[in-house]
Amino acid sequence: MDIIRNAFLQDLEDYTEEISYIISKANNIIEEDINTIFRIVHSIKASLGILGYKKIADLINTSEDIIKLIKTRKIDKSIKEIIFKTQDIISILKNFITENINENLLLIQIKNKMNEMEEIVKTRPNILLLTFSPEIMKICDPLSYIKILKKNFNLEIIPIKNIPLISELNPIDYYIKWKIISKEKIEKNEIEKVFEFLDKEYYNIESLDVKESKEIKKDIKEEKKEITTKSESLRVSSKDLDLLLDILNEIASTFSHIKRLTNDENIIGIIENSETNLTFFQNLLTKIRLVSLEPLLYKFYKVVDEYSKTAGKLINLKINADISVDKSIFDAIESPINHLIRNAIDHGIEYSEERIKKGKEETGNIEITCSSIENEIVISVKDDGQGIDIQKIEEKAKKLGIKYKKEDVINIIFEPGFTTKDTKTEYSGMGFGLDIVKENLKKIRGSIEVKTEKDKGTEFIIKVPISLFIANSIIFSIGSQKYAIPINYVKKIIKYDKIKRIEKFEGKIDMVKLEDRYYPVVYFDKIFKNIRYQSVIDRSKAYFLLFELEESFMIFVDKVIGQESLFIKNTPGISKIEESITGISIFGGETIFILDIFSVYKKAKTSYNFYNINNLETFII
Amino acid sequence: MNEEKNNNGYDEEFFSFDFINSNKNSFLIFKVENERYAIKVESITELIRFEEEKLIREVPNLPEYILGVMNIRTTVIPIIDFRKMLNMTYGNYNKFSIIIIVQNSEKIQFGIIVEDVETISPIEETDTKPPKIGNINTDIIESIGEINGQMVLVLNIDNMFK
Repeated sequence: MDIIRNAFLQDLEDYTEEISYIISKANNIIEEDINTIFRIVHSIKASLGILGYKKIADLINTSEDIIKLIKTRKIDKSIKEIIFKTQDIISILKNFITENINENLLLIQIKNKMNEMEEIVKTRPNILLLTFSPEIMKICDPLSYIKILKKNFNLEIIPIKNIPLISELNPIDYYIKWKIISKEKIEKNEIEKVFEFLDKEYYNIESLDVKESKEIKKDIKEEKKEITTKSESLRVSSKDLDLLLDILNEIASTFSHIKRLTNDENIIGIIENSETNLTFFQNLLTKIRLVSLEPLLYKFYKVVDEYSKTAGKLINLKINADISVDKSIFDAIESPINHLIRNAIDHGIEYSEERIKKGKEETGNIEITCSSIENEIVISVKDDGQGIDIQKIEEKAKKLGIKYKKEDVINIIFEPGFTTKDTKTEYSGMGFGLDIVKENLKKIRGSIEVKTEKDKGTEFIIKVPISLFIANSIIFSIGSQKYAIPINYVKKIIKYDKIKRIEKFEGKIDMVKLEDRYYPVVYFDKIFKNIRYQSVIDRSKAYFLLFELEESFMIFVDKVIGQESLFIKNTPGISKIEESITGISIFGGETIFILDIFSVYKKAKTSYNFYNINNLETFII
Repeated sequence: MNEEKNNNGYDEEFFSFDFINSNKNSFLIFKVENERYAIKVESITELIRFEEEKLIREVPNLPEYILGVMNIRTTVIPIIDFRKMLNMTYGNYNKFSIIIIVQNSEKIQFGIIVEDVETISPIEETDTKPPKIGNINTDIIESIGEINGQMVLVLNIDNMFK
């Protein structure tokens, strides 16, 4: 049974991707796409039948009917929502398969979605846009036509103001457009009958949602070809790849074991050759793990579409991410991006009227751009909204008593204390939750910056490592055990000999003088049990590592071994013994503990010899 | 009709065959001092020989009952010293000692080092809990069972490594 279930799950994954692709085309959905969706729904139904979920399969039938219904009609906006709902159903099914949810619960969930779908089809509004030529006022009063329309049909008619600046305004011209919304199906000809006595050149009626140009079809077909050539790849389970990498590491450690046992130069030579091959193999494997990022981001079209609707704003999303990343990266950046998009919709982009007043386009833009620079992936989430009001932030910061530097004002929005309940009402939650975004990014060795300009927009720039599993790290030893810390946290490495002065602060904390500043020293044997330094007596070979987190401090280590790109493995068992060890890495056949410097810092701060760290400024001589 | 039924029946049986379930009541039995202990076979991933040189003792904040962590096929897992857990003296572990690698309900793997294992056999579990005497940790004992008329203490894996 598991085999069929897994196959079904994989199919569902494929369908999600296919549907995401269709959604990504936003307004250019053509009939062919509806056929695709129809096919997907149909095969889901068949698979469910095979798996023995007859009831659910019957339910899915409704959805098939709905899509059939849409196929006969012209393509309009409602199809997009139907596609979203189909996607929801697929994700519900995925959850059902992976997490073994109760079948009855699933039935209810799917039934709800079906009802929503039916609702969409029923209330599909028909929208026409009525424009008059500017000279219309010379002939007649356009309002009289609107009145006639209202009288004869059951319509909702909304004016759209498109009035230019007063300097460009011609007082006898007519600028108002009318949106005609009908809940029932309405033909353009019927409306046109009302205008029988008006010359064609004075008015124009176009329907807003019909889109079926042959040119678009052509474009899409070409794109489709590209996609099919792309998917000529092999599906490999990531678990198998992990296992392969494990085995590879094991071979590497065996090699170094042999090297330690033998003195034979020939053997060592052979092994060193094989080791080069192994590294090559290892690099290739890590490359295989990478996936193309852009399709994964397509789901944000849906987020923007739905969220902008509830916010009542017009927003267009652009995605530009032609890079490959480790899948784990996407999982890690998904929620920060989501957060930033919501922030942009809520606080960044203005309402259409306001935008027109400012002389911007009616529709706001959000752009997600991803690129890779060296060992980092840079993700920019940019909007062309109102920007962040720095003055307001400054006021708020003063009120909350947050210290800040003048040139650094903008970064207050990432402060944990920045948003409190009263801010939320005052500035509608400005900067809400950004501290959490920053915290979460920190956990994956990432960072976040912000650039903003009033009325031009805001840009958030996220930087994350290219892989969560590979970290360029400084390796050092304390006692006989080796540890590693990702290199971007280590500010400086200082040899013990180079230090001129070490003072004792309050008789407890060692303070090291470096470039006119004193830094407190953390000794591992004082904050952890079961650790002994080798260099208790002879410190000449020892080093200090300097870190600059919220406060600066140094760690005393026995030896600095070097800098290396390490493949990090999570080991929940060890993290349970000591939380500052976040993972391990096998390097040269030896086990290296990867340290979370933030936990170490926390430990040091709470432990007895570090309690007065906040008074450091007073100690500077 | 009949044929269809047969087919379905066959399929279901074929797919639901689960060989872990087939020895659901089997236990691995080992002896420490004079007492026998049992661990459910389904929670055991493997048994390996102890290799001193793969053991790392210098782990920050290592509790006393954990001997160290060990690199087993590139997963590094904590090794519990079972004797120490029972407040006994340190065992004399050598290359003939055996590590029982188990996985708890949180999917965390850890090893239990013992001097030797006896056998794998089904036992009759009873609901009896051991009485609390002194400061001996009775959380790790799930129940008391019987094998060939002799008492066996069945271990609770989830309570061993918290």
